[in-house]
Amino acid sequence: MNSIQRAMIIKDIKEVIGSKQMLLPMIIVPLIMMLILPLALVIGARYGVSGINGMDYMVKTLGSKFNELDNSQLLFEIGLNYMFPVFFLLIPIMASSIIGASSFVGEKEHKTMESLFYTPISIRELFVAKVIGSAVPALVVTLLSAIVFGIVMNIGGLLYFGRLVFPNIKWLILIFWVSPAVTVMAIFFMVFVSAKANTFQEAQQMSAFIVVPVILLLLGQMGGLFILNNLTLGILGAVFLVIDYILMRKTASGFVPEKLI
Amino acid sequence: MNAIETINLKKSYNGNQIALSDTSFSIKQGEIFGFLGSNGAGKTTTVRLLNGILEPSGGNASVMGMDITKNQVEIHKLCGVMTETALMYENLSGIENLNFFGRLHGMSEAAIRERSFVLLEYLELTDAKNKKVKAYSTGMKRRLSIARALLHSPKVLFLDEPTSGLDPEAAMNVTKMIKQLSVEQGVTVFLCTHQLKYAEEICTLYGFIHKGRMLGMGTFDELLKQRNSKRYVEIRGESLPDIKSSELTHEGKIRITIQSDDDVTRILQDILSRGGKVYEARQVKWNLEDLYFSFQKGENL
Repeated sequence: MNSIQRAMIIKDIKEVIGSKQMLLPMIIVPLIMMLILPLALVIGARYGVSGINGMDYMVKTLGSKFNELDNSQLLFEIGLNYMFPVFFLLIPIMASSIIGASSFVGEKEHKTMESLFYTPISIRELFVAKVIGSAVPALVVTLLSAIVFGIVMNIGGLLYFGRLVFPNIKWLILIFWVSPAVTVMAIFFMVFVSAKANTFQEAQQMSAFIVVPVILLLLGQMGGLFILNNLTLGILGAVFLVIDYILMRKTASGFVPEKLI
Repeated sequence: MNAIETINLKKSYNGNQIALSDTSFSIKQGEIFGFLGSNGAGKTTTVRLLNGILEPSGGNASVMGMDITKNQVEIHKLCGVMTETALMYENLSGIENLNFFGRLHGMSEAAIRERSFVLLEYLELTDAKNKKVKAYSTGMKRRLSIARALLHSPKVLFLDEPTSGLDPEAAMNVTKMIKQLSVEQGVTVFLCTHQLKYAEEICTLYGFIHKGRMLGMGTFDELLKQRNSKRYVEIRGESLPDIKSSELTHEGKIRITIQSDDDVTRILQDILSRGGKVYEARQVKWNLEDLYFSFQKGENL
């Protein structure tokens, strides 16, 4: 990382911290998804033993794999390894689309993009610096969320299984393979949007499109269509990377001052 | 050496919307060039073209001898730009903005600190340097933009309405600073404005632009010669008789074109002899405003 990219990251972080509109969702969404809901699972699993409503199809798909588990353990296991991985994917998408929207569309909206074009960095350097500048804070938020989630889950693991349950292979794939790929995808999507959207809000509304595949993942799993195992997550990460490459080629060639001022 | 040179520079959008048509001019190093035109005349487009952030549709141009289509990064190292379309980060403080742009210009932390201190002090922003820019007044934001444009000690300075929104004292400081930069350091200033009186006060060279077309270019005297300008006498009085080819000004005075000082005496004698009363008589030469409108109308006043 060179000094320009470092300066861009510091600037983008300060911009996010300085704006309630950006900062609040960056705090609240991870808190709900990765702290409050997991805490509810840890506490609720003990009492919600009579049945696992709405997840019957998923349990059927899992088959005999978890036959030996009691209902509390089963609920906890499904939460840890099948439900929260999908929720978790929303964190990098949310963080990178907020920072990306600010970094690309926000700069256009606030007429600061043109100020950047007058500095002695090439358009390619600026593009790379802005992508890295958006990705690093988003990944930090994602990693912090994973750490908080891991602490809560390990408390649950000790309660229900008598051992630490986090991180397992699935979560390592999710954190270090799928999340970075999905982060970059959301950022490139924002770059793509930046040539069309004129305001931060407009860009944020368009970012809803990226959440759709994640919702489909959640519904597909709950409906018993498929199960997110290590292999499917590995493939998912690879698919995201291919999409990243295509989006990068497309957005980099479209990242020209004429379209952004 | 010419600091800026354009040859038939042209910019059109979508092939038909012409923002700048076949513009050719050259500006020597150290000049303060007043680029004068109304809003939408093509001033900002020209600044963007000269800084290589817009691609010309035709012709070519160079800044400090460097082609604007090939050497953008090098040009940006030598140029400082302050326009109404290139603003500062509102959620960062003044000093944070300068630190950020200084870093992008490859300056060391010590150099940024030293230069920021001098500029903020001169532009009277020292007390507000830690406040977020969104809390700044319009004038303060403009002064901070000037500080950013000057941070890396540029050789060519592009300024778009630098004193608009400033109080008289701050405007005087900025004007003094621009003159000093030009005279003492040989900085070439490309000043876009539609404030003609201000331009007349500060510029050494003028260019008039209207609807993307360059109407005239030169020093004040050169432009006067181009328009074959005349002197005239303005008279305020009572019962003033009809005088051939006189015109009434909006202040209620009459204005008559003259060739020499003797004409003034002759006109005054004529008025007095015909019973007119003269309270005030003043010889007037064309000012920049007269020149500008003359070029815009394409005829002598």
